[in-house]
Amino acid sequence: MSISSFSVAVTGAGGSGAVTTGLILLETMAQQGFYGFMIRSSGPQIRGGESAVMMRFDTNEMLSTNNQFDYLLALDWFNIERFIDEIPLGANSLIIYDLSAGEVPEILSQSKAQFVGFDLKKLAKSIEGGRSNMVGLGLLVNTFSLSNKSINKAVNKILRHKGEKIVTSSIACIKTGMEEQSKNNTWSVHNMTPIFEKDPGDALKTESTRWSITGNEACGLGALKAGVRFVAAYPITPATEILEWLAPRLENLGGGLLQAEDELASINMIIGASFGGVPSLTATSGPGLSLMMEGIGLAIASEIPIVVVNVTRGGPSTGIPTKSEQSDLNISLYGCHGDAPHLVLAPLNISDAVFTTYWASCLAEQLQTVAIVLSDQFIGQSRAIINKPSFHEVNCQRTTLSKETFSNEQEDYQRYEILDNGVSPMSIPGTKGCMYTADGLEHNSKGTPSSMSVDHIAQLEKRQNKLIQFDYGAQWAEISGHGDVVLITWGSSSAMVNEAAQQLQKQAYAIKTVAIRLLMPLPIELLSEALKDAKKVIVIEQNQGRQLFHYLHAQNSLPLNAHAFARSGPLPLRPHEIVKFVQEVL
Amino acid sequence: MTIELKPKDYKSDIKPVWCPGCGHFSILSALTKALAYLKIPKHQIGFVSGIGCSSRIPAYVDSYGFHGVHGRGLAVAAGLKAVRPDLHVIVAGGDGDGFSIGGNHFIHACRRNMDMLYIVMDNQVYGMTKGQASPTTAPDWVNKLTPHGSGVRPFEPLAIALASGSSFIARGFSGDPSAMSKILVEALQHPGFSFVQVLSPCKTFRPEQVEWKKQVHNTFIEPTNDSVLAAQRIHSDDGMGLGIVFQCKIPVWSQHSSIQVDTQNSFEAKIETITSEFEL
Amino acid sequence: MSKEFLMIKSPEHLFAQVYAMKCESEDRLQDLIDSLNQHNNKAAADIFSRTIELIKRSIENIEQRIQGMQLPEIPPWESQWHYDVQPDLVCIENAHYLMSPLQALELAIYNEMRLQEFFKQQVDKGVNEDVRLIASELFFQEKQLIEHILSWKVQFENSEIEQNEDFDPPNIPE
Repeated sequence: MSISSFSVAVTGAGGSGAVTTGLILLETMAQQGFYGFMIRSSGPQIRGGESAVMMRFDTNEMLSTNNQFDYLLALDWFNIERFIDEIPLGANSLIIYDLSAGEVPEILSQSKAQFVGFDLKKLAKSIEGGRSNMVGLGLLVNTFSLSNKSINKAVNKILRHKGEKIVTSSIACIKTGMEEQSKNNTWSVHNMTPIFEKDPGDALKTESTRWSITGNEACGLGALKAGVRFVAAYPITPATEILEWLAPRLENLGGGLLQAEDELASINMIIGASFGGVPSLTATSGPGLSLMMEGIGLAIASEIPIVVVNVTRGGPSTGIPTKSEQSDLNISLYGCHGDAPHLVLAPLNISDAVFTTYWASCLAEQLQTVAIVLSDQFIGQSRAIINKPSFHEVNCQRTTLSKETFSNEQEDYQRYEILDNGVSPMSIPGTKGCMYTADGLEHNSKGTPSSMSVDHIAQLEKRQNKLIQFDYGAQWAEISGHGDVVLITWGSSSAMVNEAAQQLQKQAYAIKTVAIRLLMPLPIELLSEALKDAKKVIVIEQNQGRQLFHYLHAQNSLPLNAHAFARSGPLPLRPHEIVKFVQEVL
Repeated sequence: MTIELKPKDYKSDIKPVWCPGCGHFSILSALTKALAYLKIPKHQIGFVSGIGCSSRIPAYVDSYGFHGVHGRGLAVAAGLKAVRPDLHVIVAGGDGDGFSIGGNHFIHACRRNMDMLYIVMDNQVYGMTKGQASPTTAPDWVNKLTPHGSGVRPFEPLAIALASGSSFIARGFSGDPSAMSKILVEALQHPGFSFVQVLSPCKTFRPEQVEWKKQVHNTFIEPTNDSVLAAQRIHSDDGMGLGIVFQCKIPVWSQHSSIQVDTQNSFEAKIETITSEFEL
Repeated sequence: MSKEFLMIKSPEHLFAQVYAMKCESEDRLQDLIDSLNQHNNKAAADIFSRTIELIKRSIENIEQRIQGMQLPEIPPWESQWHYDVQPDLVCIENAHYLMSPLQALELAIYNEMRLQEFFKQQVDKGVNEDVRLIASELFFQEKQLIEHILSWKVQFENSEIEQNEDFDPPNIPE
């Protein structure tokens, strides 16, 4: 049976090299012409403990989880029960394991998977400096008929920093594994050799460049493209990689990253920098976002553009730092005291993270407000092979008041002047003749603190109108398919929802999906348009509290009989769960 | 052609709402004198504050100002200075704003030694919220929120500043605006983080502070650059010693920081290079 | 505690000092007037308003006298007042939002009396004849000014209330 995608997991004790195996495999597949992505999982220890990688490969761009894993390479059985929830296995799964690792654990032998064991340790010992994980990798790659060219390129790229010797011995181990796999007939017996619908090498022949990138890197890139040049931040899992990626690159671009003493400082620093005229950003996760709320309100009230990337993790409170969830929608929408409208956008997947972060940063500058970019750990810390993203550029410029547009003969500068589009020109410190004091206190159009109702009403309306009247265009959502059954979703769930929709469409259901990118302000009319022919609406998200579902209802944007499929992390959604739910509803 | 600005010119049109008799008037006066003396262009001043009576000062100065939230002035100023080293950044706040909620930022601002001036207008009370104890209030001062006094040893700003690495530490008194203006001129000229605590009596909630003028003493005639000596001075002082206690020359933050914000040049080519890093 | 007596070396030096201190006095008085008005104590503010008019006139006098003179620049901390005669010092810290007109009068007089003392010291201890002469003139001008202010006292002699009572509790604006 020909397939377009298959999934591989590699598990082992920390130090056994499960992650390296995954990285090399991903890179090899990429070099061969495949697309795919990889999730990492680990125990709580800083070093050692246990680790796993879960990968999915496809001949087309693929960003959704699978329903089941085809292969599990178990380098040992260390704490495998920690991961087994994340690696669903079935009768068609093949577990490749190291014979020297001991008896197969109960929990695995209960699954209906097939097993094939090799003495990885012994095989590794036959190579100088050899390691079991590389032999295991060889077993896998032979299955996928990967070329030596791809293998060599991948190993060199991933391991060259460890030196020539390691590269050589690794390649030798892989070769050994490949030979062993050729001799073993388990694969053919169980029909485990994948036959692809399309030649993966086709990807290599196309015009489009392909990338290997993580979601966190993608967010960073989007920000840089939009002109962000200053970042102040405090490390937090799973956002730290954004900061680490940005730090040296910001320097190169005439900007910089300042490590703050805490999130309270981070948010205030970027407000100060933005006040000074430089587009600024910070990145954090739930616990940090909670701390930043006060600062976010200040930026909204004083109309100073900033971007806050939140890489959502399991909540609430300290929660599950290394796992993903979509449970920070509520705080992103409602976290500020007072009436504080702002922007909330959520990338749909790793590739989209470049555009969405870029777009959010541009919008923040243009509309002089706060843009919260709701990413999550699934997007942030996964690495994917994607087509180079391309998108149309948008206006990233802040409306400023330069000395050319203001002269002393004019009346006093009104920083918060009420204009038609709600956006009043912002003067940048250092410019003569148009000085003002930015204030978190409510103020009049000049910026002087005021408790008068006429000023409060005018400024509240200004801050809301500037967002509502703006034309965001078609990028507010990705809509695909046709039908009277509409699946609404957002963020990282989008990929799984789309895959589920495809599966349902193959079963002759007419499904339309609406993956919302712009959550606040919600484009109510456009959403209504998308739902106008819907007979069944289902909102799908990865949190326990049905946060999007409630939000859409609050905006009067859902029919009363809409359904909710909402389940919390830490396990990622899988297409078959969604398929099952939709079938039950219909 | 630069026009000679008088201290009056540095004041904005907005009349302060401080109580008559408030020490903050003197501080505003001394500061405007210092700015005029140094001929600092008004539009190149970024005046940042938090929340409290003291924090209202930016509105009363004719410059760019930022009136942020309680305790976070130093953080805003750090971001502003990091990207705009060309601006003269002044931060002002009270003892509650600076040493209670802002305590953490105070320590790290001292550590960073960014070139800016931080004035704390210390009246040992939370004036804006009707008179509660602040971190610098004596432990036996009775008020509604702490009816038996706080019972806790007061925060020692100069000691903390020294331990945290501030390179300029001084104490002034609103009752001696002339001396204060000298301290402020020195502080503004000092390359690095200048911390000036100004004892500024609160007429309304701490009327007994009128006695301060009898208690202050001009102890610190000359600053020392020896931190051990400075520590001795600070610890043997009763908290009412005036003058520049400590001043040393250490690298300013911008000298060793890699952040050099350049918004003039386009970096198109470099963005392309960064983008191409992801290619297989 | 007092600062040391400063030997004024020349008329220009004297005028520079006096001019600076009078302007400073004017500024601080204006602050006080605005503040008292803001705090709804018009009676006390009024006393200072009338005082500031006198100060402004004496400033105008000085400006006429220094026409054509080259005055030395005096940095703000070099005003050579005795510590407890600094006008702005007293001006500010003895004010209170509930102060009575009589208390305001005392404050206004106190400033001018200290200025008078400064001139007296220059007359007594100065060595430059020109300086001593001018200081003497200015001493008498101050005396007149003080008498003028004292003449207002009669308007308030019958008011019994030492300090007004505030029937409203304090606000919390922020």
